[in-house]
Amino acid sequence: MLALALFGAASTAQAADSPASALEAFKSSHQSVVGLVHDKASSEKIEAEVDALLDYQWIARAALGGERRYAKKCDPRCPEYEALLAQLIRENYLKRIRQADSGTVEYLGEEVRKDKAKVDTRVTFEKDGEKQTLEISYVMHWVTGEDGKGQWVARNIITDGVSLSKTYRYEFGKILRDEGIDGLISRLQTKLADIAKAD
Amino acid sequence: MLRASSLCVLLGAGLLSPVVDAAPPPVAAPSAPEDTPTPRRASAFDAVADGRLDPYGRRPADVSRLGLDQIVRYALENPAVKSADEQVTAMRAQLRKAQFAWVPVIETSATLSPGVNIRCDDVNLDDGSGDGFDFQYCRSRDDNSFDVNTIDGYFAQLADAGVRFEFRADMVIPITTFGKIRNTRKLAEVGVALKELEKGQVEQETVLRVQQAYAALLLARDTVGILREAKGIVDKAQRRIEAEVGGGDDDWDADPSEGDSLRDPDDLIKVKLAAIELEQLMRQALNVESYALSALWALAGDAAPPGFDVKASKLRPMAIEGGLQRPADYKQMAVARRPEARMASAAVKAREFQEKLARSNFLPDLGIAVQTGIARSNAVDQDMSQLYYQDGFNWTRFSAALAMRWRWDFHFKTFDLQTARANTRAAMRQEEAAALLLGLDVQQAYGDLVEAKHLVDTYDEAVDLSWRLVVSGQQKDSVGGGNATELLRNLEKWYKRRFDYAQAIFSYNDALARLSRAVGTQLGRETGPTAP
Repeated sequence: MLALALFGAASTAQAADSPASALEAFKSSHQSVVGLVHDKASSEKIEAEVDALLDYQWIARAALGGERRYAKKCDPRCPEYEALLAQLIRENYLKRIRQADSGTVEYLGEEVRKDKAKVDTRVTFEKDGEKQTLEISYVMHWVTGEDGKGQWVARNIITDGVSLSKTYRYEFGKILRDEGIDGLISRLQTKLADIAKAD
Repeated sequence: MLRASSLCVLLGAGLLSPVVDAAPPPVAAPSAPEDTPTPRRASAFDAVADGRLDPYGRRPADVSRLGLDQIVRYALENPAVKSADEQVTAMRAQLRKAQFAWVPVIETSATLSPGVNIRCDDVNLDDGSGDGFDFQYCRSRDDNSFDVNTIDGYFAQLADAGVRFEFRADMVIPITTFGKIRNTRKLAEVGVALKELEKGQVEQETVLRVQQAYAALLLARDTVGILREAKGIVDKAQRRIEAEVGGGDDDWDADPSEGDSLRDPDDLIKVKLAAIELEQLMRQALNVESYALSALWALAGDAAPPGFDVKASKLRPMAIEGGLQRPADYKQMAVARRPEARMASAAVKAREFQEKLARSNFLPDLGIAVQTGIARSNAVDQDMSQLYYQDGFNWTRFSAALAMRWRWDFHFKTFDLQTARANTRAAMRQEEAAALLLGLDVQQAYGDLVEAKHLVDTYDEAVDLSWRLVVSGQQKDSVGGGNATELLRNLEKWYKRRFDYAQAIFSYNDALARLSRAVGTQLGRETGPTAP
């Protein structure tokens, strides 16, 4: 259910010459994903929608300290690390979204700072017969592609005040300090194997 | 009354923060939003008393500040003590009454009423011997036209009856009461002594309460001080962590390359939780402080400056006059000086005098009964010179006689004596029991005092050692080592030891106050800069 809220907004990002509303972009993506899931579309199609929304590379590099630092920490296995993390996020999302069936999402508003925006949502669902809510914010950046077209992409998710980006950065930093990039990649591989086994 | 246990609960839950660079306490509350109904809504760390009569929060600068001795002096003038003093005065009046019981009481009565009209004539009756004999003929004014001894006759002559006046005075001058007056006086003397001891009891109880409230107030103040230091360190830690992991909820657009990747984001949550806990503890500490201060105001009474504060700013162990003695010495002191012990002895004496009084009640009272009186009726002939007339209208009398009064209700007196004897024996047993209980009081207070002294010394060392852990943690933190959990844990230890130390001093002073109360004399003396 949480994953539904976190990653359930995949869609083809809005292409435009100037930044459109991040809220509208996110809402459009989310409804598109919900429609695909409802229509039992193929995994490839859903993945494509999600990949267009989530900036895996940016998330992976931010988890290692950002563009200026990450290369020192993951070299020479940076591409491998980024691919594994992207796969892990995607797998987690797909696993969760297929389990989700009764959640509702409210769009509370957005806060814009230059080319960044925070879209606030509230996810309501039932767990063990009790109604529960989660406040989830999506940190979206307006990025311009090589073709000169811009779009909103999600680069961080803040769940009830807990930043995914900060948590990744601390945890990965701790693993890198103790086990190095090999240890981190090994852990990501193990986790992906666990998910595959569970499926 | 504040108890030590309540303060243990107050701070026992855990103080989570370091102390090194405690922020200076704020001097005034921040301006509250307009919709804030009371200052209590603001942070407890910024609470300021709403005037000198509000005990909650930082005290105004212009209030009077009193030492313990001054507060005790005011408290000894409070209504409870004055009431006890007035009871002594009342009992002294009873004693004076008993002392003057030998003075005869003169009972007088006087009447003024309508009289009768009687006139008399001298009559010489010739009996044939030539000498005859004199006779006096008395009758109503109208020559016996009516009889004054009948109701009709009395009222018939009332218009001419004139006025009758009569005065009588009686008294008994005691010769001996066989001990009744003396025993009553002795009983009253013991009564005065008992009331004076009761007053002493009230005074000592008042002093004990003042000392306990005073110590509780200073303990609360120490706690407030500790919490302020803790808040300063938590705030500092929060600022540092925010700089390292970002400012929390409002830094969602922060650059991920900034900050320390080895700083756990949860550290920020931990210090924020610590700040909330400190806020709650601070409110509790301020409540305890306000209760203790209110108690001091109530004990000091209206004579004390309104809304006064205490001079001392820190809780210190009180000094013992002459050093700590042996328990046996304090027990002897208690028997000799404690009001309750002396009251028990006085009660035995009172019962003994009551028994003697019950014995003397079997015997009569002897005295000289003196009576005097005069009666005059202006319409009655006063020249009733013949012996065979009983003049009930105009007379003057004086008599003195040896008199005795003796009630022969010996069966009741026997029961009264049995009761008095039993009461005497009961009082003796109570005196013995009081001696034992006083000894127990002394022993308990003495034991608590010795234990608290040990704790004071122990925690003093513990504070020192736990502080070293804090310094060590900060040193590690300054070079990127350590973590918030370890730092907060060490700080918690240090603050707990600091509070334990303050609590031990409070327990020590409380035990000393109770020992003083148990032995009936003040043993403690305030120490430190504010001591007299």
